[in-house]
Amino acid sequence: MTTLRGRRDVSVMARQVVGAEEEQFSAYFRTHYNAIVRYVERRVAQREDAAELVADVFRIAWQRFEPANSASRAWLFQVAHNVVLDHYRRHGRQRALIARVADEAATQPLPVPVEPDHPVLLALEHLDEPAREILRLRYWEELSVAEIATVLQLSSGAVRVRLHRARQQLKPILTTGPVRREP
Amino acid sequence: MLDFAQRFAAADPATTPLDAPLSDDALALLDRVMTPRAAQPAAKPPALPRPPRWQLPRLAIAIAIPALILATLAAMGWGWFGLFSRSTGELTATPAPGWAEPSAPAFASEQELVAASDAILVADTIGTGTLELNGLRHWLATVKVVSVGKGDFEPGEILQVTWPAPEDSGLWPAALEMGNRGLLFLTTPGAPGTSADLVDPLEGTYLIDDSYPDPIPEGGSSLDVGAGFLDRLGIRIP
Repeated sequence: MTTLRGRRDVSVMARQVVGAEEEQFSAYFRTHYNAIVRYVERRVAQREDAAELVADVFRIAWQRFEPANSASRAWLFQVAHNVVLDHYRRHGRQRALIARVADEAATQPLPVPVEPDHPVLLALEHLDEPAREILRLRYWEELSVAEIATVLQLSSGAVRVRLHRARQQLKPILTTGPVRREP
Repeated sequence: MLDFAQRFAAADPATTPLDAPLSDDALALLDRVMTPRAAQPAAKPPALPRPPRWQLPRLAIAIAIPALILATLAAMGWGWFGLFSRSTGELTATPAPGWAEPSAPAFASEQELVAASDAILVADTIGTGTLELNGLRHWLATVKVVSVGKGDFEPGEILQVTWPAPEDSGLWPAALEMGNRGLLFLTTPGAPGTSADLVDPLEGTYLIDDSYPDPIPEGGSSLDVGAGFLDRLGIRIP
């Protein structure tokens, strides 16, 4: 039978554990906040959307946080990756809906996405999204192959092969000069 | 040589400096997100009541006997089960293996992989194509040997390497893409008219990329050949 004192001890211990996790998460947040902001800024054009997505990343991260996570930034980038993917899907559905409504109404112009102007950004537009993402993770987030494997849920070998392929695809475009793609 | 890191750094669209001190907004966000965590999962539903002990043997027999009969029929290919069995008389050639990534590597060690191979070499791919053999599609790469670790080939020699094409849309191994260099594990001779086959369509090739010191495995569960593997085989890449 659990005594009153026993139940109080367990309750104190539980609060101490929660307190320790909060401290760990707080430190984790402070360490990686700017990196996640930069991650989202690189993938989402609208500033308001970016701020919302960063908040979503850390909201989800806190709900799923375990002390073991605090040793790995790759786990947090994985959360961010999924949040941004969801945003792309919602955005894609919204654009499809707007296109359908605009088509039917024939009055509203479609919102025009911001066009990149740097040669590397223009060149990236010529690749598919998985190739773009793996290059961004490698050269902007500067993640290791093992970290990229965690983010993308691939084996390290698969990451290295995909990186190689993505570079091979990008090289001739950068060398000859990218052409702005027709919408 | 293209410096990707430098090019990407120059094109970085991020505006927040990595080492910027946390803003008041960031600290406010931290307070906002650290709400009490989600509640524990709901209690499991109550287990179904156990049948009385004296009924268990009868229940077991009632399930086991039909199961045994069905298993025997399946093994014999009888009736409906015959629809799903394969008659050895119907196929004239071994079907191509599926390309679903295996749950375990085909080779558990470097030694196994080396022992299974008649030839091990580093080669550059200079041509690609397909081949029909016994009604089955095969992929084919023409390669020029750079260095030999095992087998009766010479640097400079041109070979044709084949392997069964995947049943669904599988990827061409990066090591055997035009212009790429690969470490190849081969059985010889190859399919009729060719020099060699890959010892395994998923695990017979390793991409050689200047960015990495070790050959890169291609299959999802391929053996990672360790550091110095090429040295141990006496393979030198000029």
